[in-house]
Amino acid sequence: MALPKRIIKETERLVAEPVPGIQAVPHEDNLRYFDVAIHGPTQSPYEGGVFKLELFLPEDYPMTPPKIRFLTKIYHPNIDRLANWSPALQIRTILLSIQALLGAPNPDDPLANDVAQRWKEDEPGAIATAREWTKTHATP
Amino acid sequence: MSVDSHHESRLHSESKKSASLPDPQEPESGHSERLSEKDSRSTAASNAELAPNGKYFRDLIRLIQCKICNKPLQQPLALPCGETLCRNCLPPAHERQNISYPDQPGRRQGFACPFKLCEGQEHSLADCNLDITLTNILTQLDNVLSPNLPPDPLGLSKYFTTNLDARAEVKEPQARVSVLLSGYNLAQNGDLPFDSGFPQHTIPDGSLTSKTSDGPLLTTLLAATRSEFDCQVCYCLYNSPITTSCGHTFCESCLERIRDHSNLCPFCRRPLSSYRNIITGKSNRRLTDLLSLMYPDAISARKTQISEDMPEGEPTVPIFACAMTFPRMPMFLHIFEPRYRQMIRKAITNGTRCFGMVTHRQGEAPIADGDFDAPFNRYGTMLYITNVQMFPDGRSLIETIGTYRFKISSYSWKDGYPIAKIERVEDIPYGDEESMEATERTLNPSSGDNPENLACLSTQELHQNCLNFVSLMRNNSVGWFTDRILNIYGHPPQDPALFPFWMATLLPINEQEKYLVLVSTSVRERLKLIMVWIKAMEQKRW
Ligand SMILES: [Zn+2]
Ligand SMILES: [Zn+2]
Ligand SMILES: [Zn+2]
Ligand SMILES: [Zn+2]
Repeated sequence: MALPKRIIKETERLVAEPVPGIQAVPHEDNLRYFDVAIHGPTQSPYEGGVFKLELFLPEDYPMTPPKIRFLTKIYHPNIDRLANWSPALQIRTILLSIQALLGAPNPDDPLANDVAQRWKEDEPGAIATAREWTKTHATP
Repeated sequence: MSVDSHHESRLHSESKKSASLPDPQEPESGHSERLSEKDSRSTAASNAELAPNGKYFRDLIRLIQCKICNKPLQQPLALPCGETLCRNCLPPAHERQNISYPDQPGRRQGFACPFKLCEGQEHSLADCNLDITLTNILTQLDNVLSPNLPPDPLGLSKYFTTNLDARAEVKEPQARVSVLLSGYNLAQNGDLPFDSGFPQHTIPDGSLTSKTSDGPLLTTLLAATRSEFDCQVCYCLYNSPITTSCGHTFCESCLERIRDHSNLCPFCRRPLSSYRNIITGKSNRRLTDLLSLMYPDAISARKTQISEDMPEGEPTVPIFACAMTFPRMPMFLHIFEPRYRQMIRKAITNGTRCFGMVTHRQGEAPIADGDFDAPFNRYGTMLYITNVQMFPDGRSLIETIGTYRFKISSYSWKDGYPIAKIERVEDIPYGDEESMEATERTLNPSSGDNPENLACLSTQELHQNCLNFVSLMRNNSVGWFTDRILNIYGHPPQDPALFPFWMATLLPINEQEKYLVLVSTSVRERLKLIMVWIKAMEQKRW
């Protein structure tokens, strides 16, 4: 089936007006697959790192959210907790929200993982680990 | 996450040239050929170099005029009957009697609809919300037209042909009259009755083809409003635009897809309520008419594209005749027969993840089925596959959730299972639900000597009585409502529309009785059916 107009328009706009600190490039052979690189926000433990992700738009996008997977290892309490999806959101907004989560990790997220536990108990230690991981795994 | 996405400024690919009117004193430059009325209309939108005639502009102005005050709509409210009026033109509201469902803010305030179609029928204020798309269009339109209106209203007389014998003047250079501007100005002043044409002495209907002023103005206007007609789900021109009770607009097909996944508006996350209640399933008339007047080429291209994207003929869904299930309720299935394995595999690979679930027919056909003659019943629930666990031998365990109810219009067999054309079954509009309740309660002010009389109870009381029964049974540790069951099916829904589906899933009642709940399109009626079961069970127990 042809690529829906919505995906074409979103892609055009991502290319024409890229979000600062985020690159999203569609695969040539499958325009529903994007290689994404997000730069760690300044003054966050992820500063200086470039985080690679893959983003896939499922068949019933935008009714169901884009599927996103971090390819770069990352130490973060709630990066896998994305907002309630709604078709009013876009690829752009999802990527922005990931960028925002890098800048402001929230260990109080009720569904967060065990990193969150450490983040709450020993924040300086957790931040140091996040820095270390950024240096080891996310520095080009 | 707090990233606010939909308030980002949108990309307007259309250029926004500013409109400019020629100096009225400047003599007409050599464009004197007149277009026939038909030609001018059909090319109006595609080639705005050629301005259409007076009728085109009259139609355009009419589509933004309020039928009550005749002025351009101010804060247009979309009514459930599909009509539109200014917020200030709403008739006075009154308190509505004997209604309890749906118990939402504003629903108890009502007014008598002033439009012919409704014959004074009552609408709830809650069903009348600001039409956001139309508001944006009106703003864009005013941004284009207002700066071009002469500063002094009397100055407009220059733009009108005051000569009564307009026809004699046609060949004269009167073409710098802007029909669009003068019409808009007349409407703003309330001097242009909704049903009338342009006054003959001001604008000779059908005889004006002013290239110098109306053409560029229309081009600017069409460019300025174009993106307002894009659906924010599919990013294409609205196709059968439906305005929801929260005031947002979607293509009908987009709205259906949204409702397969959620009951909330994607933009404001307010409940989408019953689909038919959303402007009673009717397209937004103003938007539809504006679209076909302003962008006839784009809209026909869109229709062509839709029909090309559609698979051959009407879409069909695979049907699985197995068990009784209801919307929003989970169902777990063990798939082992090869034909159904194939059906499930197809649903997964083609991305729909959906199939229709119906029950086998036992004995007589249910009344609701009419003359539907099949080994299975006519009404069922669409299931969405949320999870699949495949076994090496080809069997699978699937988890599904009920989405919407449907009625089979026709079916045939394919690869051993039925495929059917279906219609969605939607609840009656809130307004009808309320008037049903009000009528029953007015006729049955109290239960009198008959405690079995359910008609005197409010819809909320019916729901509450059912909830009380559930708590009582839970306290008595009756097996139907154990923690394990509630873990799977959730706690009793607080939404009276869904509660009966939950109850029908959990109670041990025969399928013929449950079928009545499945086919019922009234919340009140469904609750009464459940109450009848409860009464029968209580009698057995005591
Ligand atoms: Zn009005
Ligand atoms: Zn009405
Ligand atoms: Zn749409
Ligand atoms: Zn909304």
